[in-house]
Amino acid sequence: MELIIGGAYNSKLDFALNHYNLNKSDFQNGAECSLNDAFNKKGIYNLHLLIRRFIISGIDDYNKIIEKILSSNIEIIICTEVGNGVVPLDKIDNQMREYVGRILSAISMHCTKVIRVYYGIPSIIKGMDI
Amino acid sequence: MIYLISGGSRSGKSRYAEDEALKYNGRKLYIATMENKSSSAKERILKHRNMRQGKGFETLEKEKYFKDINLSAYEIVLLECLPNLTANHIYGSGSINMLYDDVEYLLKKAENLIIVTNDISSCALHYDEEVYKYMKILNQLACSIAERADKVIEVTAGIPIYHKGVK
Repeated sequence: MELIIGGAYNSKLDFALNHYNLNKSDFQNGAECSLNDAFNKKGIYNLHLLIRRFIISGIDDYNKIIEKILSSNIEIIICTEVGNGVVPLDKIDNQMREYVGRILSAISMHCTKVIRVYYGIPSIIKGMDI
Repeated sequence: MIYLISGGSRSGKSRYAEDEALKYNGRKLYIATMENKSSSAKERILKHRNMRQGKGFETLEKEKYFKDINLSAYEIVLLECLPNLTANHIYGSGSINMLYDDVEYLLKKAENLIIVTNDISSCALHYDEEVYKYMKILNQLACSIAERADKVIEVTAGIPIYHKGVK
């Protein structure tokens, strides 16, 4: 499993499509895919929005989401980093922020490679060079 | 040489950009895009002006529309900053096309160019659609600049991290 992170609109998905030579259809979009099928494609993008939707659907423990990811065959996970701003007043925003941080920390341990994309430019922060 | 310098708020990115510009001996143009009407803007402008004092920059306060600036006399041009320029175009009169035109003009005409932007994209607040639209326009533009830049530098706590190019 490989993880791609970075700020919003930093060309993470474009980078992944190029880097792995895949199509958008190889990825689920966490913003709109069915919650049950989230991890049944080769990859997923907008994981942070999926996490938000899981929270709204009633999941109250991030370990349950970690379990779903680790028990799937997903190979590529793309997620926006959301932990750098002020603490959100909104409960859901705040919970998403925490869940995203915890989930990324947990799954990165199982990833062979973690890439941080900055304005389209990759940095390998875990694993061997590209 | 084209530089894209980014970082969080008060990360030291402006100072780093100025220091990089000072490595050039020729005339230096500083394009300040901040609107200068509100009192908080006036305060920031004054602070940045003081920071530049004595460094030999010629300052041009211009919110947008760069096509009539003659850049040929300058060895280095510093644009401060992309988020302001973007906002000036999409919230004032102007357009995304004109925003790209302004940046394209600098990329083509400046002998050396430093563009400063701001990393506003790693926050959990669920903003209005309008804010995401702005963020998307700004970062897509920054990504296109990064692609053409010789150096892409993230500054945090005053420390430069080179994503592209070397120090």
